[in-house]
Amino acid sequence: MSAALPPPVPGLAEASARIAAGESPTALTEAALARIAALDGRLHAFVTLAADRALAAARRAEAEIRAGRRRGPLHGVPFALKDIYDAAGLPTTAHSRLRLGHVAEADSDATERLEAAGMVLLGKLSTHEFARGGPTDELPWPNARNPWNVEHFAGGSSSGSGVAVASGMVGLAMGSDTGGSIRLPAAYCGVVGLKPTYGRLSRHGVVPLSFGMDHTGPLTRTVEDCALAMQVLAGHDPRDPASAPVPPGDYLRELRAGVAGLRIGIAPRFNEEALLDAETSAALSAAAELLALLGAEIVEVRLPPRRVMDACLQVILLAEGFAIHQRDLRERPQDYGRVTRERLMVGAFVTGPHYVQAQRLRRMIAAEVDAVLAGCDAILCPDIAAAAPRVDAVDEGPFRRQHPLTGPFNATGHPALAVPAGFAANGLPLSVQLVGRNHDEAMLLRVAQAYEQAAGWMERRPPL
Amino acid sequence: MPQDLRAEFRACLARAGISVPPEREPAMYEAYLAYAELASVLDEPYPYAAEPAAVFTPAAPGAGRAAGRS
Repeated sequence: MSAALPPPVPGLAEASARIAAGESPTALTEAALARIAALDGRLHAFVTLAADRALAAARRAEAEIRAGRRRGPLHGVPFALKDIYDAAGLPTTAHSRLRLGHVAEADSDATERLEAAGMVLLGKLSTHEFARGGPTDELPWPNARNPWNVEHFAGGSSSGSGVAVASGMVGLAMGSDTGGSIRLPAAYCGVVGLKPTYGRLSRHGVVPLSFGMDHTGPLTRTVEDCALAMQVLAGHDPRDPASAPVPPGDYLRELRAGVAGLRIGIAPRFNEEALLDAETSAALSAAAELLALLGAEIVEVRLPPRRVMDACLQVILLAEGFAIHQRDLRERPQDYGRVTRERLMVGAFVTGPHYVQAQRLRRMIAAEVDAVLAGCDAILCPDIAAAAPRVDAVDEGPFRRQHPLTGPFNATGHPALAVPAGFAANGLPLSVQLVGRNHDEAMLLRVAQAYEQAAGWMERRPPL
Repeated sequence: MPQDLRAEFRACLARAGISVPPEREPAMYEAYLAYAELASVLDEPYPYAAEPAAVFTPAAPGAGRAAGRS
């Protein structure tokens, strides 16, 4: 079977170089569609495949490039969207029965920017329902499966995004992250996932879960690919009230500047509270040692207590999610999957004073993390406590006992990036998280690039 | 006390206008208790100067005209 499997598509940098060298964007898109056709029956990454639209866009890109009108490095390169992003003419289902029959009339900001750069939209990707449910909900489409082992959790909620990139169906998949929904599937699927600073990327045209905590961002196979995507995605968008009127960085200029002389913070108490298993703990230590070998200075820092950061995130997320969904929860609760419905319903327990207190706390803990980052260039910490659990072992209760290690940086708004950090004995990926100063995604990418290139974990592919 | 909490739990659902099937009530009640325990950290007083992160920022003068309104 593997002999007949079409090869994985190249990442963004490689695809760009191949197009520059004369390779056909149409052929690249056809190769991606062939890979999807061969694998998606097992992995269920896609909810909507827009093959005809993609091929037409690829042919247009090819004609423009052949005519000497190449728009930029990503012209003619395929991408895909988590199915909460609008793309005019395609359904935005949010993977939910409640959205059956929906067709978007306009593009999300991300769709506009990526297509304006000449990228080719392949289709829409599986998500936990409304970016909130879990991997066992019974929904109109199957849940995405981890390509490293389909019996194990792919992470969520941007599950299809992680799966599509890890399995070589596409080089760039957009995700969203309200408590870790970019970084968790990136970590469990062994790819790079960036939650940029709150307000750095527009959320216009993206189905909301929590206005205060929602972030959009890319998942890619390599750090360089992530930087290439950010070059296109970043920018102010007045249609998003939270969009920051801050000029975007140059995410490529210092990508290869290395980490010599940089200060990387590690937070022992945060790590202890994370209850890491031995393999993840060893991977985190090894990552710190490798960064030190590359010339970084490792310094101890102290983050706010997890309990405080988790309370801030959860209260705001729950209240806002409930506010968005309350009418449907009253009138058609049976149309949600059980996990989604119950998790949204927990928002009914939030009081007004607690919501206000959480908003006040948010400003205080963000300032505390700002102060930590005044003394170091980035913080290295865990994003998962262990490799992906089996799907049947995932906590699918209404309120998780263990909150994700990613959530604190949704609460503070700081940019945070998941980067592969090795493999567990069972062959599943491990990952670490880098957290940076607001609007300094370039520094995060620089540190991650140095680590990735020295560690070399991205060379390994899922055994498909 | 546990009886009071269960009454409070049911009141929250009733006030929100949502219902939970009887077989799922134990799981939702457990979630309520876990949520309440986590949120209790927010009961401590903060300084008056601690403003919410989501304070409303009015548009700058001229923003409406820039958006094309007449």
